[in-house]
Amino acid sequence: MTREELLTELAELAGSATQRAGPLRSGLEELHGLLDDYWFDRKSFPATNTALLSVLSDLTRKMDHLREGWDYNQATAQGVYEKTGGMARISDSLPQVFNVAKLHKMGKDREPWWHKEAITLPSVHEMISYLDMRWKELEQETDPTRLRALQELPPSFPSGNNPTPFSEIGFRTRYGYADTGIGTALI
Amino acid sequence: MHAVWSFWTAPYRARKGFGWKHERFHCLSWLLSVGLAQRHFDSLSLHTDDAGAGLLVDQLGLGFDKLSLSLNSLDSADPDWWIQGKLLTYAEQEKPFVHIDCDVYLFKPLPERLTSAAVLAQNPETIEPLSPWYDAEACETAIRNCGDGHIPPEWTKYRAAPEQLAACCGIFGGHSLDFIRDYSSSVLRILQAPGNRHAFDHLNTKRQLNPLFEQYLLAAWAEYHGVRIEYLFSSFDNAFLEAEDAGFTHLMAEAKLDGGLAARIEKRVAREWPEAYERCQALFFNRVDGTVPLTLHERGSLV
Repeated sequence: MTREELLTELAELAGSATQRAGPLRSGLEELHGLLDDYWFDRKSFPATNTALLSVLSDLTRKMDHLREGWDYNQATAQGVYEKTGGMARISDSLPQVFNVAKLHKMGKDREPWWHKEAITLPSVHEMISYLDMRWKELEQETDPTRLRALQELPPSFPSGNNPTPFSEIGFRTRYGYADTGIGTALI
Repeated sequence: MHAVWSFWTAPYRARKGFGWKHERFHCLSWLLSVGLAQRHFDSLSLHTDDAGAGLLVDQLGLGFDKLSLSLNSLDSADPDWWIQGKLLTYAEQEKPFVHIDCDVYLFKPLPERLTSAAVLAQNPETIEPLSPWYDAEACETAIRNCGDGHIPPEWTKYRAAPEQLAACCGIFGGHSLDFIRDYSSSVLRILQAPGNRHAFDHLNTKRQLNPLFEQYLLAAWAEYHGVRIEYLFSSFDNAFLEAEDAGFTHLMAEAKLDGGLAARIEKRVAREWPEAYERCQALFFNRVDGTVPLTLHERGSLV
């Protein structure tokens, strides 16, 4: 798949999200697969962060329409919710900055802490937040050497030599700390 | 400042609120939590029931300035809502306090900004999409459709707030006793209302909803009443990054199943409180071969 094909498919997914409320969930699962393609074969799709973010942002806006329906028309929203298996409620949550990079930097030797989480419904918002954060990190880096190092990092959630497919990542925050606890080095 | 612990044994006996690798490590954790905190606080108290006092005070030998058996009043309460033991303890406090979970270890004193705060907690945490721990919508539906239908205004108003958080309560307390009493007794009323007794029975995630009633509704109550919660850490990320400097450990959730951590707790307790450690060992090990750890049930405690 070329970058253009990927972006086209993402755009189609985004464009059809609200028209096809029923298949939204399966569409998002498809989106995860596409993201995996992007994730694992980055060199085939150079410099795509901005374009990808644009498409994903569009998808977010579409999902926000679902949120409006949820907020202002309970009857309709309930229908949307039932049809989409809960995706409307995902958009009900504000995007969160998922600070994986910071954890990665401080704990490269640790087992990735999301591995044990069973996948539920990964949030597109969180993907966007993460990509956005990575992009800002690139934008704000002024040191050429560090910038090159950042650019060479795989644009994936850090997981050593075995990158975790998006479709297998369970997004966890609260209990992301549960496997290791907090401050356990003190014991 | 007054340090408080609570131990309601019904959920423990039913294995409905504690996930330790072995009961022995649960006891060792109590020894570590209380042993460390007694270095920092003016007085210590335990709120528990008869069985809890039997284990922690009579058998493990933990020393408290005050022992309350008020959790005996929860005998007929639904043990799925294990949070009731903590909430009742919060509601009963008559002087500024810090409630410390038994899986929290304070290697350093809490900073003065916390011990002087109206309300204090560990850290704010974000509400995750589709989180089974904070599914306020499912709870509302259950109360409205299958319960007494009463959702307090603090809850409904917060549900419409643009930004919603929960307050992680590994440590919780403060000086604003009226607020704390109102929050905790109000949440207890929701959980204990006769009309709500079976409202949640159809939810597969019922027990996972305990944090909603303690931590989400605490944030909701604080927001509604304009009370500021002073947090030890500003987020979970920062808790993870700053905990060691703060001298703070919290073995949240599945961390209690970590064999390596359990071994370090054991080593630490054996080194610092050898007599208490021996009492704990005697509770669990068969004196005949000295190797087989018994459960408390086998040992005849907490039965």
